[in-house]
Amino acid sequence: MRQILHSFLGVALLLMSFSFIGCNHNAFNFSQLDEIDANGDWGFPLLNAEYTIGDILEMSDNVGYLQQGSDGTLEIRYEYTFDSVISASEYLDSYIDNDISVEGTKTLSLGDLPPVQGNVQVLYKDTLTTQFPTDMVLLESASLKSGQIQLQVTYNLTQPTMIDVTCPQLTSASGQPFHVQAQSSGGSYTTTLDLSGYSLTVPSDNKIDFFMEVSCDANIGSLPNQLTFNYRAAFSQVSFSEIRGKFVAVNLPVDKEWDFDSEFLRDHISGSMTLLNPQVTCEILNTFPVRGNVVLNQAQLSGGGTSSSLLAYSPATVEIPGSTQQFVPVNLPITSSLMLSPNFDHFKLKGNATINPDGFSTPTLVLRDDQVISMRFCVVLPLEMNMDDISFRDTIPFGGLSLPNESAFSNMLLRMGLTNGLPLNFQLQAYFYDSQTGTVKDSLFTEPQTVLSALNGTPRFSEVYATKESYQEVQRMLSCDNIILEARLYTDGTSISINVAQAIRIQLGARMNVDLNSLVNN
Amino acid sequence: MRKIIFTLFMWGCFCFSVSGQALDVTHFMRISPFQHNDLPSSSTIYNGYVSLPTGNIQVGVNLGSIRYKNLFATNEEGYPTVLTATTFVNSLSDKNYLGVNADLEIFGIGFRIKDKFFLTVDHRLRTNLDFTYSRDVLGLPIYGNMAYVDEPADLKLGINLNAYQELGVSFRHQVNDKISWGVRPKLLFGVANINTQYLNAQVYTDPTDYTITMTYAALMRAAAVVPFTMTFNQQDGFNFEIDNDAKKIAGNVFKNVGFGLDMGFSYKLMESLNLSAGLLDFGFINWNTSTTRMTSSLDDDGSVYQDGSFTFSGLSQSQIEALMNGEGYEELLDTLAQYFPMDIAPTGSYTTGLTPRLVLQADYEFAKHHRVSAATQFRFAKNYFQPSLTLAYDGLFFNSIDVCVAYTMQRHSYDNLGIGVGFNLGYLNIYAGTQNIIAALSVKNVSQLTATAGIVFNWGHYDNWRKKNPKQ
Repeated sequence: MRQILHSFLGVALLLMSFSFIGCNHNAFNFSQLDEIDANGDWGFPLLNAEYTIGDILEMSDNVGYLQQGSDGTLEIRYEYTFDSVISASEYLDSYIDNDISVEGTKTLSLGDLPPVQGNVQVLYKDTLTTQFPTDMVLLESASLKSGQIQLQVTYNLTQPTMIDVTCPQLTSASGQPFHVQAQSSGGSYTTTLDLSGYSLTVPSDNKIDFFMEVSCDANIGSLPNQLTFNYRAAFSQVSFSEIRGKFVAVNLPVDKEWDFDSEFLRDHISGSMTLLNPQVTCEILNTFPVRGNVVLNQAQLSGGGTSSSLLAYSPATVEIPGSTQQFVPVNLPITSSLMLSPNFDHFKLKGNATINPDGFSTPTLVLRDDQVISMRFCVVLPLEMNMDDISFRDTIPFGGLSLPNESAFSNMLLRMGLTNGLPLNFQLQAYFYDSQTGTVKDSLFTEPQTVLSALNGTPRFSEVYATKESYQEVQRMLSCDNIILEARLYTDGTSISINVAQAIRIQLGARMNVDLNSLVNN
Repeated sequence: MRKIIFTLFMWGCFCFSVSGQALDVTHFMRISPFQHNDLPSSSTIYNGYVSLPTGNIQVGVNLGSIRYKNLFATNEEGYPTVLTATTFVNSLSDKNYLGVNADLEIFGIGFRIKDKFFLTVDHRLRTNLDFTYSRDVLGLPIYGNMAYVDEPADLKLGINLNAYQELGVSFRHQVNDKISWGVRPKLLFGVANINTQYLNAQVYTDPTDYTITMTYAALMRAAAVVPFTMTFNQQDGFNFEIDNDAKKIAGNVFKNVGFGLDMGFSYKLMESLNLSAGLLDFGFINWNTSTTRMTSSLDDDGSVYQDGSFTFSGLSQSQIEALMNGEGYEELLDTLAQYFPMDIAPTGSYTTGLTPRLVLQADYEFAKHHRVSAATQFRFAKNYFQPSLTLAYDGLFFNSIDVCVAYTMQRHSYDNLGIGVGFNLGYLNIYAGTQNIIAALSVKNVSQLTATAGIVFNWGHYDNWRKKNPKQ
């Protein structure tokens, strides 16, 4: 009995031992467990966003010239003001020869001297008349901004004399007539006087009279038998702040230009387009009290070796009204279509301006040196256009984007659903560019992918795919630091209009196989 | 001898593992006085017994569809080297189960009253964990979401943890030579509970644009005699505190009151053929201490919420801009998190049911002390129906050595060959068993790990008593 019991216990113990062995078998030693067999198929939506042209404009830097028109049409707008295309300060003086003078010699014998009055013996007394030319202006009056008058008298007398020069037509700022009185000795007198602030009144013929008298003490002693006086009165460096009178018509050249920012278009767009309704408004501010006109020979955009005229015809005459207190629009014959190159960065205006075209028949005018003619141009180019082939190109920094472990990813599929509300077809491609080596290492799509334009204003959906089968391809792609995005833009041959409300909805999703083992272990 | 027995017992406790989701092999061992645990109308061979904390210990893990061989690939030396996640998920069923149970009889006493009655009083500590999960819970992270473009990934989790004290009084009545019945009302005192009312999510991925659509709802409740507070909200975050005050814990021990009932009926169809039926663990527990409720459901918090679903079709323009400005990543996560608000807060009392079982059993004694049994158990776990069939042979040798061999088949588990051994050493009865001895030999096929063991003091072998008292 005892033996049987022991035998049975032995068998039972053996069976139990199996379980003990099983529990502590290598099967539960996980020290060599270092691999996971799991390769999942994952798909994620990444982006589902609608971007209007307006949104894109807001996101873009330095494209302030791309703006929204009143009807929402996207337009290129260049504005520039040519201040002081014609400035009175630059040419007012040109009306008048500012270096006029009068000079001469007078010889007197003692017998010709007038009688002594009291103790004064007048030796010489005369009126010196000088004259501004009358071919440009018939002066009535003028205000001198600056200028000098030099008075010079020499004579053959050594005794002290008194020099007295007056000019009633010249009055100082305080209203005092021009008057110089000085003692002289040694036979000469020279003085130079500043005429700044003086006013000039000219009764007729642009003439100015100076009255000069040379006298001495009656008891001065013996005088030479013949007295000889050399005199000179000369205006120099005269400039006017105001001239009242009648003027001849003045022709002045207009040659103005400006460079504008076109970096975005130049850097991203190639090809050209024909804009159908370019609009150019010209406004003129003319503070001259007289009308004028500008004959424009050139008003054009240029750059990159090409140019495009804004004028419907040339030369084009622009009438300038007189005495405008603010910019007023003037008519400018504008071309109905304009070839626009993305390289345009220059605006040039060239022609001739005529001020006071009626000349002396115009009533008396008052011209001041602060009077100007300024021109303001606003070139508005709505993107209503015909285009054949435009290419868009942009380089987007790509650094910093990385997957946690590229080797874990394979069969990558990038899916893009584009609902295109733009009237433009696209052919899209993206290149992965390594700036270190200067090489394009890969492209996103095997071939450029087509995105169809909206049809009769209704957005159309297109779907494009990019595949990267191996992780090496992904690795190569991610090793680049730039993406060069290229899009060929083309229409179906019809005219199109780009509106800021037009939108493109982008649904971006990625699908890939994820090897959990690589993801965890590497 | 004692050392051998003790060693055997300890191995039974710690090396074997066990199950409670099918009838245990010791249930069929006539030397065990605990047959009434699974069938209250069952008789015992003793006139009485006393069970101390070592009297009946059951521990079991039911892995359901989980198999080692599907989970790991091993090298020639048997070391696991590869976690074969895809193979593993492929092997799962649509709906899967993981169960853990542990029963400990703290004290029990049973004795015969005259010839027809047997009364048992016992106090047990029972713990059941039923964890259900859909295959897609693991399939989604392993297969990837693009594997669910025809049908949505159906993510369902169910947790039902019950730990409670059971104070039962079992009464068996032998009506006549053919009929007997038994009933065991049980007073229950809950110790801890975690249960999900629902924890469901469905994830669908559009095969064209990969738009991910998700529906989601969760309601969980928890309670314990150990005072704790657990709160969570979006503003204050998660907070968990336990109060270790022994007085408070002691004061809570009898506050989660419940009631349960086991009942059974046996009919001797022939002299050697006995038919039995039992309804077990029919009852409830009302939880009152530290009751906590966690709710979470999809919230309409913005554009991603569409028609009751979380529909993510990609980052929006403003989100992209925020990310590009370097200011949006955390905000984006916060924004997305707002669609899944979770609220954990104390709640009022609630009631949970036990996990009822229905047992149908036939025993055929083809020779004296040798019988075969066929038993089915239908276990009605929450959200998971668990049928099982056990075929068992039990032989009593030398009136002292009990050997039982049982084969059990369950859903996803058909290789459970169990063995139980018991010794009646006079007033001492020692037994141990496992439901799956094959597991010990081939660990890669294990679906169940169970162990049952015990030492019981008994007196008065009934058969001998009958011989000596034929008139009664």
